[in-house]
Amino acid sequence: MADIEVTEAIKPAEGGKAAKGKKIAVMTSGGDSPGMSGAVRAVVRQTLASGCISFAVYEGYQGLVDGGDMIKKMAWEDVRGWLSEGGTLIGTARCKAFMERPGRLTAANNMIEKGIDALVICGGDGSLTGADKFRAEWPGLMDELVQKGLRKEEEVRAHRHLNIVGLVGSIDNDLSGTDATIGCYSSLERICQAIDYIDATALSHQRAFVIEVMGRHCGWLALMAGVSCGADFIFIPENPPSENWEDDMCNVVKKHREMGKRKTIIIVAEGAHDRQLNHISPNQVKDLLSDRVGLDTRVTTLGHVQRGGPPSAYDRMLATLQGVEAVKAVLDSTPETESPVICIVENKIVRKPLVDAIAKTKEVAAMIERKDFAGAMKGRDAEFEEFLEAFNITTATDQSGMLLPKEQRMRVGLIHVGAPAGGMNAATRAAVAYCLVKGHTPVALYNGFPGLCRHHDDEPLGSVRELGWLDAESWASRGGSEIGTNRGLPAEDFEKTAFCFEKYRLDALFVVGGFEAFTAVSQLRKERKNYDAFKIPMVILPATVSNNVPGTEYSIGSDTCLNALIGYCDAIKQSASASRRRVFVVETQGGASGYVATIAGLAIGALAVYTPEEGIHLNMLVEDIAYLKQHFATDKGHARTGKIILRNEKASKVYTTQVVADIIKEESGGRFDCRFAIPGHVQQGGTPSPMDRVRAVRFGVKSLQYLEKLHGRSREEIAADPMSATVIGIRGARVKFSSMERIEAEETDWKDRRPKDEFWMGLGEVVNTLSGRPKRAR
Amino acid sequence: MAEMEVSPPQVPAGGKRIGVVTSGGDSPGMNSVVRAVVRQSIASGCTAFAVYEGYQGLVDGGDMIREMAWEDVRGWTSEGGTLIGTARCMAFMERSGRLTAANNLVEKGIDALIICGGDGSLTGADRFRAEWPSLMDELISSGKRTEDELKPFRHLNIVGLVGSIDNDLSGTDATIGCYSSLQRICQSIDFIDATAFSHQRAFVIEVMGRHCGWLALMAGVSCGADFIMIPENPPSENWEEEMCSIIKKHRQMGKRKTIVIVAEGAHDRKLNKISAVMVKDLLSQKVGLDTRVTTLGHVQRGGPPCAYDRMLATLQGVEAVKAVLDATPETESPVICIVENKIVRKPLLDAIAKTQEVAAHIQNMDFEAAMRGRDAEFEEFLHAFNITAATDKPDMLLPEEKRMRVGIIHVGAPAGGMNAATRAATAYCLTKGHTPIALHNGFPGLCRHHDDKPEGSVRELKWLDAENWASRGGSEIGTNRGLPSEDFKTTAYCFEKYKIDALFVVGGFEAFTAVSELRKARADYDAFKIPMVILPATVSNNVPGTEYSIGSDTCLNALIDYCDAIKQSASASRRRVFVVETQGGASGYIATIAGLSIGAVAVYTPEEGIHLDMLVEDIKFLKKQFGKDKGADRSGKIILRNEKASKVYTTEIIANIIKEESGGKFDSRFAVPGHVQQGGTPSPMDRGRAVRFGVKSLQYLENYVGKSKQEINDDQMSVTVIGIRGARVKFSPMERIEREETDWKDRRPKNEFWMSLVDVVDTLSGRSKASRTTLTGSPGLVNGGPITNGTAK
Repeated sequence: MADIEVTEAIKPAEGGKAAKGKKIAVMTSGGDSPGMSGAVRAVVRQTLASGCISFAVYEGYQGLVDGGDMIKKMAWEDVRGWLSEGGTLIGTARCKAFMERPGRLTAANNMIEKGIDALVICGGDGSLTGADKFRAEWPGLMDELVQKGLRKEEEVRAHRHLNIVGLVGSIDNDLSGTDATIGCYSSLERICQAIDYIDATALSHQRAFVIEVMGRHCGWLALMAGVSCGADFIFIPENPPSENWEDDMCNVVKKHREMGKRKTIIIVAEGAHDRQLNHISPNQVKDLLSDRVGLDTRVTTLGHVQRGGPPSAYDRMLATLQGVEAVKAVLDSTPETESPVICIVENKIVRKPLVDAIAKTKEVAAMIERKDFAGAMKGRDAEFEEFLEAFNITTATDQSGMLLPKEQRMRVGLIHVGAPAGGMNAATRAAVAYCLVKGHTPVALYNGFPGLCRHHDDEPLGSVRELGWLDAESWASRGGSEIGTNRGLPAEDFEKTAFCFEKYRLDALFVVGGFEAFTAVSQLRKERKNYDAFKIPMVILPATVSNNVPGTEYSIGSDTCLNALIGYCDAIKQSASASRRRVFVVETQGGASGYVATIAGLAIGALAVYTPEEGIHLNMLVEDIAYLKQHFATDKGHARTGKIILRNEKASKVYTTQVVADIIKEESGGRFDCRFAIPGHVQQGGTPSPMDRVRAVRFGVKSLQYLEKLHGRSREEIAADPMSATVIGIRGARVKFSSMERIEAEETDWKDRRPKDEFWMGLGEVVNTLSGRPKRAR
Repeated sequence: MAEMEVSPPQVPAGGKRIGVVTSGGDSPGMNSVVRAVVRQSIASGCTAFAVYEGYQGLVDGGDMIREMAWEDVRGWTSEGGTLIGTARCMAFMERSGRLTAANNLVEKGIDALIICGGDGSLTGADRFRAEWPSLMDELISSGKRTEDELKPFRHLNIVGLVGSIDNDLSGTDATIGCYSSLQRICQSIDFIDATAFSHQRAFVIEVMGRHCGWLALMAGVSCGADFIMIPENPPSENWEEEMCSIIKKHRQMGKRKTIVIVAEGAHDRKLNKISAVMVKDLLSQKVGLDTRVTTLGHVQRGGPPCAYDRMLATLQGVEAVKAVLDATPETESPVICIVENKIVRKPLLDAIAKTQEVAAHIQNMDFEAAMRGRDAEFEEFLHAFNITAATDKPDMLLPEEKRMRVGIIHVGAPAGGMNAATRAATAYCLTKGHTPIALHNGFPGLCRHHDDKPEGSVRELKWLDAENWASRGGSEIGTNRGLPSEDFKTTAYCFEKYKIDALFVVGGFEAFTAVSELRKARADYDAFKIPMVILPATVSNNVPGTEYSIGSDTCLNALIDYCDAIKQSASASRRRVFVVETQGGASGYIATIAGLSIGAVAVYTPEEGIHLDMLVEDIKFLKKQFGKDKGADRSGKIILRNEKASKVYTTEIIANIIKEESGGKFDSRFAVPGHVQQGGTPSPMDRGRAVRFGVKSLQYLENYVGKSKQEINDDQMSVTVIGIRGARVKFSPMERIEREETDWKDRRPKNEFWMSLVDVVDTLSGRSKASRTTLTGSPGLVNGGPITNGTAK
């Protein structure tokens, strides 16, 4: 995520006190998507925290036209707890009236009547277009209001300009310029969840399923669902299947069956068509499979389930940060700055001009109409294409066309080190699929290094096994790690490790894991001068829930962890709010880094987050307790006010979670109750989240490609090349490989086992702002 | 839940060889069945076989019929679908196919078959059993087998287990898997809520169930649908405008979403089909809603089994093995069923007969009889649904003087389904003309804030307020542990001020305590001489007077998800034992059931307490365990410890002691899930029950209308707790319950029905019975005086 350059520039508006506090209205229109309510919450609270007045327009444009108490003044409490609600609580509606000018006129009139001078819209491209049109003809509407005598002159003077900010909220992520729209990952989660369920029954009946997902013009959903669930085939509008998709779809399926795959899953985007733009419906595919392949096939249309449900952790975070950013965009926008749309690239939140974000989106739709599919692919961002390619590879079983010649084939060692994290299996599956497609042999080293050293020659089967396609096939949605993982390090016994590397002739190592993996590889790297066996290229795919692997801002498994933690906190919040005045101190994992705690704090709207970086001090406690008291004193027991305080497991040795809870209870004088909760290992989560899966696949494929490039060099060249031991990661806006040597030296804080300056430090600020926790001078 | 006689299995020499088959539609929980059958057989000294691919496996024979060892079924409880596969096979339908199948069984020496499937495959199984002797003769006559070779195989006895998601076998309340798929359905509908809410859209949802409307009905009840279409009870003649007027009225009252659930075998009174599309067109034209159709498809069949199905499957599996063991040749073959929460054996014959009979009733348009064909619960749910969804049945309005003001209050810890019960109660009241009054924030809220400006804690519930609570967890009107005894006077004063003439309490043991205080305080305050009903709602299920209180299923689900998550990490790192602390206050219900559901190694409950020797014993068992499986996969162990099992041996200390004694060979951690066990969204079972109990309670309250305070006071039955006792739902008078069935010190009912399940847990986990009793002995000193070692004083 971005270093958010928090620039407090305010250009001086005309005259007195009135100008200081702007009145910012927020509305949601178009298709609803999970996280919209969170965005509204962030906008409302950031507005108030910035000393402005905030309005919420209900029922979307319909509300604008109706006016009256469809445009409500929002207070701090009104948006309490919205973060965890699906859909949008201020409603949305399709309204014809807004499409003609008189409708817009009354709408403008209503805004004047409330004195609103800025609009934050959260919606799909349809409604963002409407919003922009509304802004363009705003001055005209002003004049029309004056001659019609509905408004007097001086009332209108103060509202010459309307500036709007757009937030993209749609589930099929079809706005170009942003990696993710609010809600797309949540609905991806719904889809994957549904597909996982279908797996179970498909597995038992050896059935085939054709699944239709939403996305008329955008195949993002179908693509990602395919990737994360390991589908056999997908149909997306940007990349229609080839001419005779009928028979090479059947071959793929037939092929998989012979290899023992018990289930077949085909994903069809609802706007899927072939190269001639004629629609491919799931039933067509079903008939094909049951007639030609002879599978009894069923069709499942997920329908609006994909749109419902609570937002995932990612969407909450996205919605919150974009909401905050939107308000900032409003505050430092002058009349002639073009209205921005808030986007996210990799995980930097940026503002892009609204107009051409929409233009490019429409253009993609147009390209598809013009059957310019390559152009359409380019219209999507880079990640889109990679995923498509990754998908093809993981499902391509015998495109002999991709086999590498014999001498470029290598034996890749696959090993997991550290605590289990969601997505390890997906990464391994991607790696296995890639190897088999390219002809490499994937060798799985079971149970980490101790497993390698102690059990490599166990009978009947040892801890070193070659993986077949089928073995890894069903790991796409498995949590934990199928090949076993632990904190064992090679340092326990370098000889035997080296001996094993030679015995099983490993000429590349693919390590998936957290800081231990990082430590293990750095030990292997340092021991190269003693053992030749270690002079092989090594790549670390960071996979840990605590996200403390230096060299990446995002390690897979943390999203799963965040989701589990959030689910956990929601459950807890419910019980807290059911019994009103109760504060929960929740201990999060994360080792010495407060990433999980902060993000979770952001995601669930925690009151305070204690991280190891700041530690806990007596005064801080005295402070928070004072705030809690004042807070409980002023709201008289109605509405849901369960409070949550997140404390990282290593925030401080003396102030354990229990001690903090006791002190709060002791000092509260009985007015409110305080409990502590230690979720413990549940944060490693169960089924990995789609985001971890897709990232795991992406990283897995990219890592293997990277290992291929290093193949063929001699052991000395490898030992000499600092880029032979790398860690793959996301840095700012891009995915890159950074060499271990440099990372160890500059960016690793060994004592606390975390990277040095962590990019998310600034978010702590946002958490405090949004929870109203008072600032005090450091 | 489960209740069964522990009868010692008498095993003739050599033991039986039992085969287990899953066929027909798969459903979640089938794996737990296989696991339970395999382990119970081995524990009873038999050998267990698993027939893969259903009947197909029987016909093919060979290694489609595999002998299963103890470890082979490790961890199967949490898998969806069936790991031994199922298939539809033509061959089994001709006699020749059955002949080869019989031959294969004889070859493996299998003399008993446990089939888990729908009514289709159970019929097949029964026919297979009926003609088994003649198949034997044909084997002899065709020379493939000799006479004496078949002497021990004269009779094949089979046991049927019903595994289908649409719960259409009459005679059993729940088939294995129906609740899991109900869970899928509700989950999806909850998801659709969010979006329907935003767009004020209408959704027509098609669910499975060709002949059975159970799924549609329950989904409707759980999610508070506006309308449902089920085959057993087609809508009345002019359902078109009846449905539209209902939906139109809902809209005027401000309801933003409309959900109509259509069973895929829905038809009208004249048997012509009603499809989801028809309903959609109807809604968009007549009511003018933009409506969407969602067919959930096979999602309903997938996913891991919910806690209830795990429970059901495990116990029915165990029961099936027992049915096999004490079956004699002429006992007619049973099907394992569950009535309320008694697991009983019913003759397979007329279970199937009655099922087809229902279908027949539907065919010849005798819907009355069809309804009677379903079990009583079905009809109640329908009645409950009509009431909660019906807004303007003026003919159901009671006359003026029979209307009462019903106070609704939540007491104790929040439990899943509280809101559903409240919603059902509200709907029921408004339909009958009563006024539902919500007493927010329990008794403290009542006493302290009843006259807060602008809004006190005593608020009349409109239909709309309660409408969308059906799927909310926690409690919307607030709950806490406050008791009326903090301030009887104000409580009584409030009852009079707001003229509450019936009280509907939803809550746990505190609710139980609160109502018993109110009952005892009747002597001092007339205001309390009103009828009161407790709907037990607590996660720890320790409300006397019922074997099942809502919220515990939600809790079990939450706990099970939690343990699965943990198990994964435990198994990922192999030799790791987790000591998980469960809630439940002083009753070990949660711990035991959860232990059953996730296959825990040991369960420590407060009823037994924890002793040093017991620890020494379990640790040895763990060592043996870890010693035996050298690094095989997925072997995370879980020990469940109830939060009040013992004061000195806390969860942490147990974990440390285990780690300490393991000598490094295995690692142990402790986990305290804490309040997550109260769960989030309540499970459909809780919702269903909440609605059912809610409606039954209000009906019950009605027949106290018009009685004078004195009559009410004298009538023991005016203060009751609604609950499931053995096989029926009944109201039991508080007074007797308090006196006879309540153990006040430990806040739990006396002799808890689930105690007998603890053995099942031990049997299935192999934990030797030995550690329940105490060890003795230590070496003698030099001058030989004997030492007596007294256990804890």
